[in-house]
Amino acid sequence: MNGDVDLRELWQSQPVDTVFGGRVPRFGLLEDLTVPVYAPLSPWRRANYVLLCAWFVWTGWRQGNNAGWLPQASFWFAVGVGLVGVVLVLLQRDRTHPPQPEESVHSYRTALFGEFERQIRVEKRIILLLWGGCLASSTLEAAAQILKRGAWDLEAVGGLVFLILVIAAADRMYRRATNAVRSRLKLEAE
Amino acid sequence: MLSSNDTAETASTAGARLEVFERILKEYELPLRRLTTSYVFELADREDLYQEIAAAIWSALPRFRGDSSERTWVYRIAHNIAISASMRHSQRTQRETTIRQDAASLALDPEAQSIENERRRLLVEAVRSTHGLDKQIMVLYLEGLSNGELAEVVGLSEGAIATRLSRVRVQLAQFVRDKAGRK
Repeated sequence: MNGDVDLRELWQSQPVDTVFGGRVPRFGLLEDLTVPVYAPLSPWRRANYVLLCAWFVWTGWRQGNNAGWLPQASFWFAVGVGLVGVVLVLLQRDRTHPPQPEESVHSYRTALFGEFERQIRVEKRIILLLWGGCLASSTLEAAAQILKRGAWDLEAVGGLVFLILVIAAADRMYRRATNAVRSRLKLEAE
Repeated sequence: MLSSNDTAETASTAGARLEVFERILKEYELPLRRLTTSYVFELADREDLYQEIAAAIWSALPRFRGDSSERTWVYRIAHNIAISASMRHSQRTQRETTIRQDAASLALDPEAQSIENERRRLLVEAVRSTHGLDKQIMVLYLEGLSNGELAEVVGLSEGAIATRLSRVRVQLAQFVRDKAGRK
């Protein structure tokens, strides 16, 4: 056991640096300092936000520049579906409590990763509903144009295919994000 | 002067809370600062983590009911806050720990001090290279907690702690020997 004492002495003798000269922080006026915990954001999820914003900007610009009621109706239909979906998801969200730091390390870690999974789940529902709204509006617009012209509109069909691929990719991305959280928890608990 | 026995009773009293908080930080400052070195590398990040831990202790003080010892309660909060912080920090290249030379001990035996510093650096490197529960158990063990206290902080049985601890001790000693042997 001498080796243990040696390692402990070695560890406890390490010099520690301080930026503020070791002053005791003053929290006398602050009652609740709970630091929120957020699931780590991957580049793919960031790219998804950018793509979604770009789609809405593009359709908003298109409906503003094109003559006719159809692009305008399509855009506002997508926005409406998205907003209704966001409200429904937020009303139905799981009311979990954030993990308390005074819990045991094992319980805290489990609760922390559970919170990450919940955040990813809520985000997935909102994002897929927004994309779903875009797909629904584009489908209606494409159908109206086909009925009007009696022929396929390549741009509209291309848009539909693009949206279907994006939704499929987003769904897969969120599944992978959830699996990554579960794998990380399993790895850290081993 | 309030003692550790007063934590539960007085933590919820206005005024006394600050006194208890200051006593806790003075008593546990060094172990908490050592803990930060095992989770984050940059000095500024270590200071941020220390401040977060202090803030969490302050927030949790009114909720402390004395169902665990003050020591295990402080270590639980510290490690849990460090876990959350480590999720936010991106992976950085491990850097050499800057060991400040103690002028007095250098004057005594510079060569012995240099060997000691190298072993200390390797030990910190060994702790930083681990993840998850192994890291927590390593740090708590090195801080001198008993198996019972370890079990209380981590939330596993003493038997499970003993099994992990024997593996962790072997890993630590092996790491330091291997790295020292390569130089």
